[in-house]
Amino acid sequence: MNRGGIGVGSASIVLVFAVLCLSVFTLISLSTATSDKALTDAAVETVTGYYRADTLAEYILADILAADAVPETVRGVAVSSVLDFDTSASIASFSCPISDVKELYVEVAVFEDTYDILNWRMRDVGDWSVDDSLPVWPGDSGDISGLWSGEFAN
Amino acid sequence: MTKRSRSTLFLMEQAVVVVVFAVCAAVCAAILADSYLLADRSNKISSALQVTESAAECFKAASGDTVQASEYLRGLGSSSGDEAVYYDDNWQVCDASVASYALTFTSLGAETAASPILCKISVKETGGDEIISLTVSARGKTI
Repeated sequence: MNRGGIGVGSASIVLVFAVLCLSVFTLISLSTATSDKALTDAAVETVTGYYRADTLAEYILADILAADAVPETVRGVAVSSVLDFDTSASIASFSCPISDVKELYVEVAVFEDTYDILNWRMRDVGDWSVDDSLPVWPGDSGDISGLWSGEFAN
Repeated sequence: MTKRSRSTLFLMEQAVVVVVFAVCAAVCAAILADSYLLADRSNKISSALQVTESAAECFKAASGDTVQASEYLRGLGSSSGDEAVYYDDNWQVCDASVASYALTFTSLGAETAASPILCKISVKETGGDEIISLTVSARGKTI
């Protein structure tokens, strides 16, 4: 037994600890960078998809305004129209896909010599379901008994 | 076990530890360098995307006028007549002489007078690769 000095094997223990720390920090760093890249790619895809849909919507709007009457289909996109009896305007609406779960919804009132944009917004089209598993506060009119057991401060 | 044989064993262990640590450190350093480059690239793309979106909205606000859109992007009172906007390392608008990035508007024209005006907005590193590009449209003043 080596008394008063560094024993055989202690260096190996330090090595294992150092390598473990190094590996963990390296993996955390790589994981963060990969997540950032995925997030950035998703943002780029969303923005690119939005402006692609926006460009298509601009073309469709131009075609609708150039036509004598609102066509049923423009550039492969279905256009629905209803007549507003109060203003004598044709209300045309159509949607351009942005991604699988989002689309650009456009609604325009077409008058005889002008037009008015009523809606030009991105909206969700994907399926969604209500998750009521968390006991959140339902609002002023709701019953909070059972959700909280503290006391109100004066 | 003699004192000499213990010392030999200790030195052998030290040598093995140094070699194993060097190999692990080299592998980890390579992965860390890759992570840094990946994060740096993501950061650049993210910042470029923000200025590209701003440029796209300026182009739409300017009704397809690329010079006016670049003036909107540079800020009030700017009228250099240049269609490019330059950014420094911190993505602040700057002069071309100290720029790290350049945003350019390339007008793609319109099909007809009533059609929307198309424009390709691209962000490049000065003297380097393109980071991002986006094709946007604007309603012309005649529509």
